[in-house]
Amino acid sequence: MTNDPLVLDTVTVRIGGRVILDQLSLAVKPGSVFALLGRNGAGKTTMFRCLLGLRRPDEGRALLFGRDAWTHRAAAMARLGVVPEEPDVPLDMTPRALASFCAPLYPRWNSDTFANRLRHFGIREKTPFGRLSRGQKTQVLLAVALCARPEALVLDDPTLGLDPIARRELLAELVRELADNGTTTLISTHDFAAVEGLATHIGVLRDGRMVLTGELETIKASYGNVDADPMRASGDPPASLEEVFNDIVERQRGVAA
Amino acid sequence: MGVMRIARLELARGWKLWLVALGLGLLAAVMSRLTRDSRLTDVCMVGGAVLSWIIAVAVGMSLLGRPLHDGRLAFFFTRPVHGATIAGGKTIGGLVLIVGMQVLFLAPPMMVPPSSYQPGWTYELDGILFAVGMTTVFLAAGLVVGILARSRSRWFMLDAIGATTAALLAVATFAQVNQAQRYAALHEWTWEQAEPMFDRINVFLRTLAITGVLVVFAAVIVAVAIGRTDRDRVHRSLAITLWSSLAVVGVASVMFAHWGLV
Repeated sequence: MTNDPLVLDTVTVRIGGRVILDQLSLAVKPGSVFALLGRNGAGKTTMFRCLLGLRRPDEGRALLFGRDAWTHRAAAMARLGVVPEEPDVPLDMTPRALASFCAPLYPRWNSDTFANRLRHFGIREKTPFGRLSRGQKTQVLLAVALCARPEALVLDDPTLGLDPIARRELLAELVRELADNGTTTLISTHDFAAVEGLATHIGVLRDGRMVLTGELETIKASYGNVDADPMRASGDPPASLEEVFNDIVERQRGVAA
Repeated sequence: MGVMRIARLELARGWKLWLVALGLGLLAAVMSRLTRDSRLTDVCMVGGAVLSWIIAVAVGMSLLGRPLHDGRLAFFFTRPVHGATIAGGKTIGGLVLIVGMQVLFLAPPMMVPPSSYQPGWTYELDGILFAVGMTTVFLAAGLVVGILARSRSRWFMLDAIGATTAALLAVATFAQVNQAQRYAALHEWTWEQAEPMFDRINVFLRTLAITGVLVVFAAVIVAVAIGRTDRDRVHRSLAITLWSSLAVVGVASVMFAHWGLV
């Protein structure tokens, strides 16, 4: 289990007496793209914060590259690219300043790639971060993450708040990167269609618990199975990810009721 | 190295303050030249010093409290940089910014003394050190207030108890210092007899002030390094580290003032 770059081992987090993550376990295999699905408030961001060493779990442990994320955060970050849910770069920092700040921190930083990516998306290097559009901010953060040539990427709902074009561009960029380098990736998103072309594994988080995890194709095949799902006819195409997710949510609702 | 990189970011953010300070300093210098009224110049200088203290509090509050509150501290914590480096870099950046601002404000009137000007407090090293020292104190206060006010966590009771204890210990220390001075007066010491004691009091109070400020800076850095982006955890760490350290310093200072001054 510890060979996996991103691991959560029975992590529990309580905030104000409320259980946010409940004995959550997760292992992202090297080279895989793990899509984390879940409704708002399921605990995705808290899970990411634990994994990034930003929050110490009350129980269990989060591991980055086999070492405790809380105690070895700084060292692990040199090998990890992060795109947060909310762009968090200081608002007055320009992409150029951002690059010159980040370049010495990452041993494999590629300045040319960074400049090219900005140019490709029409982002001026001297525009303060606060004046960029939401999509541009995310593109800058993705550029920072990718130019460090990380061994793993953690993307917390990077398409949130993006218009369809910006979303498509961002995901195309990701697909290209993953195809080129096979970087281990953990991504949370509500964009099922996009994830379907990207993910190799999925996990469904609900009320702080992982209610389903496994290989995407296996899960889709099992949900498209006539025996497993009587509503399906033998000629039906495999279930879409969105159908799988909705089905799981409905089933969980039924269990809870 | 990481510390200086983060400090440079703070300087890049606030360098315009230096221009404003230099402008005000030049204005004060010109005024003192034109009016030849040392009182007006002193008012101007004191006003400038007070303004820089207010700015120091504002800068202190914005260094860590604001990014902690709006989530932007996570940007630094998702880089390969240690927590103490992040907090230390931001603190050093803020310190250089406001001390530089103070120096730029004070320098022009000092370099262009008016012909009829009676040298005031700004021309004495003690006066300058006091102004810069107070700026540092206000920056430290701003750092603490920024974190405590914006975290809005349940640890404020600990702050109330800690602040009260620190204040009581400070009052007790100054009472002991006063008592030492009264002792000299009651026993009708000559200046030669009293001078070593006054020197000790002087050194003691300066050391106490410097230690207090260093404790505050260290507590803030430790709190952010421990709590990272978790506001509640940063507040708790700050409350525990700051007030317990200040209590130790306070008790030590009361004891020294009681037994070590006379």
